[in-house]
Amino acid sequence: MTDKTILIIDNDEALVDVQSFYFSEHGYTVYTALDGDQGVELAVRHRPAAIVCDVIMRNMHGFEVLQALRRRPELTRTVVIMTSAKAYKPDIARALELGATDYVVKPFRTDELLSVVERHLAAAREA
Amino acid sequence: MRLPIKIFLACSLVVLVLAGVAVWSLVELAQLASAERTVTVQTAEALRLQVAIREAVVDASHLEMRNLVFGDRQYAAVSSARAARIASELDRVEALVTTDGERDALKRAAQAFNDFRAIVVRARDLRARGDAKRAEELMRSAGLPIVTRVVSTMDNLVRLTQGSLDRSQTAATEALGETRTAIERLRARTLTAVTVAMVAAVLVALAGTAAIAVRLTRSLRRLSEAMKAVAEGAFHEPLSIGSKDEVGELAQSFNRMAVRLREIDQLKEQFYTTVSHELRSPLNAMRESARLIEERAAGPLTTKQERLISIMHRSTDRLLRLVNEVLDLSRASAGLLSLERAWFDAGEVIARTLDELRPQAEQRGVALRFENGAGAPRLFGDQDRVVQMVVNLVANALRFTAAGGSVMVRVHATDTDVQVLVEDTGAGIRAELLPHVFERFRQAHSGRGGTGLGLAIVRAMAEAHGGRVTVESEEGKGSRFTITLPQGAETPVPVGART
Repeated sequence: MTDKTILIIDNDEALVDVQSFYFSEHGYTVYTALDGDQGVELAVRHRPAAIVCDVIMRNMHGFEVLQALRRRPELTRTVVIMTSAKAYKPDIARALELGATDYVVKPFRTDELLSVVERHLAAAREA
Repeated sequence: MRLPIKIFLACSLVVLVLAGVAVWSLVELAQLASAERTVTVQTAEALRLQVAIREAVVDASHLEMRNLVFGDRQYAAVSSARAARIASELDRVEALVTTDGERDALKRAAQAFNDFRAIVVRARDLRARGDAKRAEELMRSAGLPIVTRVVSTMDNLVRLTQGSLDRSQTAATEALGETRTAIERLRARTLTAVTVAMVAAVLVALAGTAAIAVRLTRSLRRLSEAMKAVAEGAFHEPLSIGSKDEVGELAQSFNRMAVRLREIDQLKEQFYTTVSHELRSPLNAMRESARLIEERAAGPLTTKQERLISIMHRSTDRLLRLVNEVLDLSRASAGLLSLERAWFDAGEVIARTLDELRPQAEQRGVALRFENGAGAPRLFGDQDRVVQMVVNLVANALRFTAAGGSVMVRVHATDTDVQVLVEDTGAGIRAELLPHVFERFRQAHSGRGGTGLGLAIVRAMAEAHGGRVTVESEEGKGSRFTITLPQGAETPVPVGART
């Protein structure tokens, strides 16, 4: 597991492109998935240091993806940031309960997302 | 069964029972009237004829005597005619007498009268042969005693018939008394029967009508509850009203309508979700890309590039805001505005919101003040929507207040509500425009930015919370907008809102 790898899972292709560009610019190896199934598959294959996953997606809900990720022993310590347009507190609590590292409400600035990811990666390194 | 038929049957029950009682009373009366009358009339006629016969027999014997003595043919003719009439009247009397005694007496009288006529024949024969003396002799010795016998028999018959008549009259009088009693009884019985039948029929009819009314009311109440449920978007099970009348048909139509409404509701929800996703996603990406370029994420920019990218960023921002507002309003008017309610401290949330707006106020040279009223107003509502309302009102106030002016925000709780007041010392709104400020795309002042949807959204959000927003304004002096929201969780959730 290299430190600067990230997997972005979101139905919103344009947003994935923007984030992908920004993280690449900051030296990350970026994997992208447009749905949950593909996301879980890529996570298992590449074991990225961080995963950014949208909550509301077609086919597979973000919480299902989160549960699937956390069931894999090799992914239990991966930084998983859930993102959602819903700032509903019970949803946030549920995400953290299911093992999300953090929860970022959309729309967010990409540099903010980067700093959240970097903060958690640093914390994970120290742990 | 159709409703009018049910009601008609219940009412016709009363009419049928009354008609039955009337027919029964008439039959009883008719039976009473027929008795005894015929007997009395018949016997009186018999008596009259008997008396007449008795006189006629005597007359006839006198006439015959004159005929025999004087040989006057006219007497003979009259006597014969009289005799023939007596014979026929005797026959008539036979049909009228009623007792065996009378019939016996009549038979004897008729026999005697026939004997008398035989004597008369013989006497006339003698007279015809010129033997007047023997003819008279025969008449005196044999004829007149027979006449006496006829007369006495007739007297006896008259007595017997008189007796019959007396008995029949006594019977008639008694019968009259009985009839009176019977009529009295009938009257009482009819009265009782009519009363009982009336009461019973009215009770039965009332019970029938009440049953119809109760069923009808129950069905209508269920329909009304179901309609309320439909209006609140909470109708799931179809109504099971099995009756075959108009209410049953109404329930079936209602069920069809509810199913159709649910389908439309789902279509609408799907439409807004798709549109909002498809419009917002690329716009968000565009805005973020523009911002990243502006912040040199893709390398250094020339001054011209920077200006153009800044225009792009601002326009995308504006377009995204407009799309969000249009979608919010469309969702609200389609009844799909989703509220995520929770208890929160309104004062604290509004204070935080104003902190974010403060740089904007300072930039415009407008003082933005906040006053958190007594009672730490807590609110059960959608925090984001409340923030959105305050942002819209304050952004408006800032936009229409000249530098040096001020915008004051107050929040306080009443017994049941939380009120948020946003007051400015700005341009104010002309009186004729005041009733329209909450309508879409109605701006009191054009050319000052804004989408024209901000106040419409404030109203939609306030109403979705079961509250309202009002405005007071004086042109040139400023405006005051007041949002009033119910505090409690028990406030009915408005149409379409899901918590």
